[in-house]
Amino acid sequence: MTALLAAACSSPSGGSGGSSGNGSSASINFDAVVDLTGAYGQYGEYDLAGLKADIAVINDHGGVLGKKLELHYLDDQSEASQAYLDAEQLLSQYPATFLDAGTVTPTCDAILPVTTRDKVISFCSGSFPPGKYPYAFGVAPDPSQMAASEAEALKDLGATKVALITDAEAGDTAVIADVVSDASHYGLKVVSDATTPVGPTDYVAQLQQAKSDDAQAILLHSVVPTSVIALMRDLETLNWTNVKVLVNDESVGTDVMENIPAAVSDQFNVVAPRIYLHPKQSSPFASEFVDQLAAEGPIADVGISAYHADAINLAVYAMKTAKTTSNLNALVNALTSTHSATIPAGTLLDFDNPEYSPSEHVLPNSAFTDYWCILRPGTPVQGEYQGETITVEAP
Amino acid sequence: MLREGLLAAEAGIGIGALYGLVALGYTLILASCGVFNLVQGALVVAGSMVMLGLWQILGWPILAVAAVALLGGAIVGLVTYLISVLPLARFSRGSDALTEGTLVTTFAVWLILGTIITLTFGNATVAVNSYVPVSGISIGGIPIQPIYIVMVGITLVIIGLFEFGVRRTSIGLVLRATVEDTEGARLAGVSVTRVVMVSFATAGALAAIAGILIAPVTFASPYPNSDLAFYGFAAMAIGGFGSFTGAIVGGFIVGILTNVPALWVNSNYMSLIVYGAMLLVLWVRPAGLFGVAGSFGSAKLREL
Repeated sequence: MTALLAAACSSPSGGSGGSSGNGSSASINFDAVVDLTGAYGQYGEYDLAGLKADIAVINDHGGVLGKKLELHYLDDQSEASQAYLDAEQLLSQYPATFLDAGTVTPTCDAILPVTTRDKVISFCSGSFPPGKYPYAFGVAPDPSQMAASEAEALKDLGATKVALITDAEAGDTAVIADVVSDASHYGLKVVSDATTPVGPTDYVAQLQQAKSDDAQAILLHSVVPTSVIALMRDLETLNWTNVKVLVNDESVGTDVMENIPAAVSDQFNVVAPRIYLHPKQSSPFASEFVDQLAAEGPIADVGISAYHADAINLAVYAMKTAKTTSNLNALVNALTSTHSATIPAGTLLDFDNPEYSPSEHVLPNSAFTDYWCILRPGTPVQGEYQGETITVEAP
Repeated sequence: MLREGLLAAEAGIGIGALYGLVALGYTLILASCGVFNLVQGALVVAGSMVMLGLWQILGWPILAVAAVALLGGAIVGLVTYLISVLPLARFSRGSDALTEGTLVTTFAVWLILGTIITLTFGNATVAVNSYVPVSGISIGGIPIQPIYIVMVGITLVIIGLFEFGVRRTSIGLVLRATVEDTEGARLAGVSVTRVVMVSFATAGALAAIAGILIAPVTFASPYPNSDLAFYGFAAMAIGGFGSFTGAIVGGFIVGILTNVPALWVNSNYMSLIVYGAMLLVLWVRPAGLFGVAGSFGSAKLREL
């Protein structure tokens, strides 16, 4: 009810939004629907920071085919209905060939029908059905790939008996389901599988259940990252000192990593993309990107910023390869030929080659075998955390 | 499994104290003027943010923070009355019309306050440090978390004060007279408007204090607003309309129902369990478990 009324009361433009320019024949529009407010609001902040930083670096180097990139975005308030309206409005007001469809599956799902209808190439870090959206391309791991990384991380932490705790509305329930179904393949045994209400809550009972079941590690998935802090405090309450806790990279905002209670910080681990370990070192472009992020303020989450930046980088690659900024078929062909192409090193931030093909628009398993690491809590330095790499078997 | 159940029940009772305080505010306002005031949930959220800002970030003493929350909650409660009830009271003919009309106006104020909170504070859920040690006593190997001892203790003190105040003081006599017979009380020289204003202010203060107490558990976030409002209503309905003690007991019951079953069923079913229990109680006892025909010892039950 609250969301409906809020949507009704919001401005026709869907709330806050922005543009980096007025649009002209000398510029290329790149549209984005971003979760700046609402339940996923902090992811939207990281998303937008990455888009802005990436465009700034690209434009500093002369743009694409002699034209500057211009970012136009709207806030979908973490609501699928608003995301749909935002996509419609953006494409009407700022016609574009490319659009970033956001971070989470519900809003991505609302946007992709619009971009498909309007023949706009869209990039999405949520999941979408294969083959349904011919102009949509994934820029993040799918649930099975994330599940593989978590299983490998748990093994690296020395755990074979694992307790799962998920909040009831975690968008990555598919990841949890894959961990459960593939557990024996990875040499794991799931000893308990509990759900909790969304948001920080009391985890003592669920932790006690896991302790009673001799769990060696806890895998926590929550759509609200600070729930992790509540769980770690409750671990301290129980004085359970020999269990490891593993969370996924949704928790890597500094709110979490800098606030894990000291008494249990040694037990806390995050499985995340390797970019968090050495964000500046992978390429000169990455170094400039991180510097640009830092110029806008403290870097909150370089990983999420990077894979949204890669939406732009893929668009730029496609335009340079196809030598056009607007011919849809040529651009789609350039992207779907990456499976047999050699992309120059440093073109992308988060992975080397998306290996898209005409039939596969999601990142392949091979993109993720050397993609992951385990991070430790602490204060990042220019987005860089402490941790070590892991190698993941492709699912 | 018994151990886990007891731990979940402990958390349920602790969080139930919060629902009880929200329900207490609802009960007080409902009994004094027949208005159901949803704003209570938003005030709990505001209280948790006051705790984050003043105690955690600025380092104020906890008692000073509590005083600010009490005062702020009372002011917001009063303002809620002035903008959402008083204008309608002047033109409503009979309590039914007032109740129906203010359901809409207090709902609007609830939405407005929730939006102001989100716009001011942002969308993030921020961890709040505990004001008591995390580890505490252990009974039979079951850790008893100090924060829940504080929350339940303060709630029981509040309910004790309310019951004493209503039944043994002249202020309570005035409140009971107003509930029993508004026109009669008015003719006897009671300022009914003042009684209602005090009720709104007191309820607002209660909700803000609840937010202070629960902040280290639920953190500072705009998102529990709806759950607090509706679970608080369920607590009032289960505990009994017009009963202070019932409001608190109802809160504990709701707290347990939102925590203990989660050990065995998906948490998505918690709302179904709570509201199903509420319906069940009302079918058997339409006035709730402790509701009687007459609020606080008076003879008439003010109807919704």
